[in-house]
Amino acid sequence: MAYSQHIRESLTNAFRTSHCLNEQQLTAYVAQKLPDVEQHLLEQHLITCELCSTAVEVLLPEENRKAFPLLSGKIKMFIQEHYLTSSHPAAPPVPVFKSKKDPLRKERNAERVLQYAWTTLFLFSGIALLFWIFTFKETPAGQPGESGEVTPQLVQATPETQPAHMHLAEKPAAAVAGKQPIVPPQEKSNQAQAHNDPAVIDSPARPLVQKAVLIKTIPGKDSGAAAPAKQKDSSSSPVKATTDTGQRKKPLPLRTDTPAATTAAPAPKQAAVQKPPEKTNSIEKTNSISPAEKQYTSARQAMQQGNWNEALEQLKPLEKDASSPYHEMARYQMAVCYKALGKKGKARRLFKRLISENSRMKEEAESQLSSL
Amino acid sequence: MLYHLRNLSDKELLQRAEKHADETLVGILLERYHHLIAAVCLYYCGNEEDAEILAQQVLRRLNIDIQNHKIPSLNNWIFKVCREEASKKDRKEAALPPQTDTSEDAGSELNDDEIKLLEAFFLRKKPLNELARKRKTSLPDMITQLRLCRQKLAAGAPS
Repeated sequence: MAYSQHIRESLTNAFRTSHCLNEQQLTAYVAQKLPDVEQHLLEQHLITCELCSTAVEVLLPEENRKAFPLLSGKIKMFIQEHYLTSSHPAAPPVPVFKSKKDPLRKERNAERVLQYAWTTLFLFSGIALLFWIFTFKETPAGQPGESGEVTPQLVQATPETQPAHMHLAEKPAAAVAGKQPIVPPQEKSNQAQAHNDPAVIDSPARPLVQKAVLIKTIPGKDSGAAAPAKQKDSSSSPVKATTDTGQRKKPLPLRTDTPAATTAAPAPKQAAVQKPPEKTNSIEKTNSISPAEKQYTSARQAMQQGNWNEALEQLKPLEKDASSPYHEMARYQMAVCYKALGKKGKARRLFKRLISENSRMKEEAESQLSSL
Repeated sequence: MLYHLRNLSDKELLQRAEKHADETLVGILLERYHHLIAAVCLYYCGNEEDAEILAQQVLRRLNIDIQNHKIPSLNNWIFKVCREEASKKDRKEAALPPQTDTSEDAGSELNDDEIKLLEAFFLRKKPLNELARKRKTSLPDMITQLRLCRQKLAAGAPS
């Protein structure tokens, strides 16, 4: 008993469960081709498993060993045909882990949908806010002819107790330098008077929005209020500078504003290129500005501000009018607008037309066409 | 799908087959034991043709049993089914080996010869063929003797 107890402590392997022999192990064991360690492990299993020990016993005779592979193959085929084929009628799909994962998947999908919804909502609201801000800023400044139409907010912005030109004079010039001032027609007509006003001369530059407020709120002081803006415009706006000089009647000087410059270069850069204004000439010529030139100028300003569609609308009548001196320029600028809008086909067509007609803008058109 | 199921253990497959009454799972289980079924059927029938028929009957019976019973040990169950099907069909009744009733010897203690046998096999890891040659018996007899010794050892173990 004591000895059996000693053996019992050493024989834990005898009671360990192990897997049955597979086909290769069975044939290899019978053929005695297994290493000693593996053979002993299999023999330990043979002692516990009647099925395997019977199988080994069967395969000991040489005859059964020859017949066994064929019989085994037939039974395997039978199992595969009757139980493992997908066409078997009584084979419902086994739900492996599916029932556990389904609720998690649904929750995750719902969270994702919510995330997308919130993200798109925030994006749209942000875009709408930006669009509203830009339209609010550009509406009075983008249309030179409508400079007198001032929004109520802008009118309220000017204190009634304080004179308008005094209020505007406090604005720093540097703050306005980045903006594109536009010369309204009323101011152009009053430029001569404004030039002689010493209070106005000393006032800094200011944007058109402020000028519009000034004009609207103090109609009696049109000449005095608009003059400072004009004074500033004559020195800061490149477009205005070209129109005020003696070369105004010629449209070609405007060609210095190439599309690359209008799209990429900011206002200060253009201001550096511009020529110094000749005050006497500008005073003399302001009264004789043609409507075509006005339209062309406003279109160019719209282009500088990035309002391509608005510029196109203003350029189209000029381009159609073959007798206008701005005919070719307008066509060229339209092509530039189309290029900026991504309508390359239209832009290419217009550039080619300019080249084929051997216009003055031929070289520029060729360079633009090559870069398109 | 089948690849995934083939990696499951016997216990897992048995539980699923019983729960879902799925013949695919039964097929995977039977595919694992097909060579042993073939060998045991060959043992009871003695020829290949009868063994094939018996094997098909065993497979059908196992298909029903696996889907309707909780089977603790599949290898023992397969052996039992093979024996029952072979006796039912009265195939080669005379060839059936006499059922060794080990219950009488299970309660008795190990004698010296059995202790030596256990020591030689489990401790010194002697191969069964060598032990059978020394004791001048066959390999199946050697396996039967060791099985009896093991049962005695298990019966004498403190609970």
